[in-house]
Amino acid sequence: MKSNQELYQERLHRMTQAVTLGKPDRVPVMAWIDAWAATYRNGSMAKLSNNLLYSNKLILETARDFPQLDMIEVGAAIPRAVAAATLSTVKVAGKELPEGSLWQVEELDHIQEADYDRILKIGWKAYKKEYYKNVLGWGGYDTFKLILGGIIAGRRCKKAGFPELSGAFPNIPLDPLAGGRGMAKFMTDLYRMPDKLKEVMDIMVVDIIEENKGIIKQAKPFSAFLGVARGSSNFLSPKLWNKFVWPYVVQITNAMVESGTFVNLHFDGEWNRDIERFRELPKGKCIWASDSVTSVYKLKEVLGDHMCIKGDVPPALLALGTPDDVYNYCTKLIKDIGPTGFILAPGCTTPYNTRVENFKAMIAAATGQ
Amino acid sequence: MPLFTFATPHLKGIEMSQTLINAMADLEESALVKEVKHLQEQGVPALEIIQKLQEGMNIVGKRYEEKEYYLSELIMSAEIFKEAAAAIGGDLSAGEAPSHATFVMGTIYGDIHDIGKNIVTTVMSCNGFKVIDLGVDVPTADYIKAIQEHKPQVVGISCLLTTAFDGMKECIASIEAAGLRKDLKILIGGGPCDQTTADYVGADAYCKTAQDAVEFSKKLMGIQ
Repeated sequence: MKSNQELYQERLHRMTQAVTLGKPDRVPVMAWIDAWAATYRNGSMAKLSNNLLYSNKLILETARDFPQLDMIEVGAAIPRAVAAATLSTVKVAGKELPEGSLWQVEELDHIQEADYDRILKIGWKAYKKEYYKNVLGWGGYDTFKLILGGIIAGRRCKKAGFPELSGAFPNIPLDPLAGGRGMAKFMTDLYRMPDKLKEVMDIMVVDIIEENKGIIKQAKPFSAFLGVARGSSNFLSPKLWNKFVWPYVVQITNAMVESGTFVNLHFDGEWNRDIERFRELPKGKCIWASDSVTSVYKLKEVLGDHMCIKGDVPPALLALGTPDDVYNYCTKLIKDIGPTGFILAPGCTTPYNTRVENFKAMIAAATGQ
Repeated sequence: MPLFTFATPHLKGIEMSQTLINAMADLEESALVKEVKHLQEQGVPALEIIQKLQEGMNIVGKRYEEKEYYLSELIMSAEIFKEAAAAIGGDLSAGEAPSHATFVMGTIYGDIHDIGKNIVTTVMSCNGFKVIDLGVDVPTADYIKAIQEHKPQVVGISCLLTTAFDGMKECIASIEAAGLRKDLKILIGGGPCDQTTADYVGADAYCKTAQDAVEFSKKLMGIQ
């Protein structure tokens, strides 16, 4: 029987082969398990949403029941931190929502036009600190607890033999601005004050890169998670996208790769129009994680020889389908998108109401067991 | 004297209206504001100006379908439209504007996400539909009450959580059980929805985008 450390290395090797477009012994299978851990382990959603180490415990207990998983996306559920990254507030079970409820992000218009000037004046790092304290009620001690909790959770994952996919979380400037300003207002700002926004984003990206380079240097994660929520191809016209999205995707990706980590491009939504542009990113260094809205077949056709594709088992299928539906979908994915440069995984996170048999069917498609 | 100065006031009005339609379609905000002022000064009724703005919105919708425009332009056009309508005193929500049909929409109970819902209601109202926005976390009883009161032709139910699918299913079944489904079409939409979801919850259609809701509803009402 292999030790946890042997399994850790075996899983890491299989994933590395997939990302570097090598030849893994089989298509890796992984999942982002957060809220589903509470469902599967019959745990408290309120506690999971508010206690990083409790979430880590449930996630690892869940993963241990599916030892064929090659990785988990992150070792803990941290809804407040995820929302904070986009300057949004979040309602969680046990506080604003009843026990058993999934957390839900609120995008309110906290950022006013004057805040753009404030960012230009004091820089993104200082502005973010102010915003966290004044708007989100998130102080220095909360950040310290988050970092410490993340380190402990990461060590526990390693001890349990499950590598984490991502350990640094940069985002392009557009996402926090859109999250804090409110999407509709922000999109009109893109029209009404494009030059000022460009200036603000250019300031922000410097701090974003610097902060994440520091994290990568310390934590040495497998990959940096670069999620883009409001900048997908069907959200923005090419004129806006080329100015406010793509330059920052390139700049951040290159900086993360130079720091010695892979980049997990977690791009929800529809990106079909711009898939070819991703060939501009370094070969064999990125993972294109699709939530099933972007065509996985177009991704394979255009990027198959350039970067690894991850996904894209649809959330509705995991929640509503039968095990046969899931198995057939996944088997076809492996055949058509694999066997090299492909990681089988749910599109985005594993839905809270995923049927256990469906999760097993997804794994069985990859392992043949 | 150049010939064009002999244009009749009627023709001038037509030219100005076309300028307004083009400004709306091209998202030329300052030109649009200027043109609305001109038309107001000429005594053109507010509803007539709104009709011209809606013609511009039709072009925006076509450009969206043809992938010349994206969500950013839909939102910007809706913003310009709302501001112009407010400036001339046309309150869209008060039902003063001419409407093709009535559209009731909300985010289903258990889900508080409102971005997608807000985009759809805004785009629908700018495209000539009278919109009744029920808000977020809407219980089935509120949908039923709104249907009985406003007698809509189309109902939209939105969600961003897969855990809300069962709520959508229950809501649609209750609308049917209350005998209100006969002359009503129900659309669903939101991040995790797809055709599988529409089949599961018993909706008439799944809308991937806000413009899909406009097109489906227009088709239903026989509007070109």
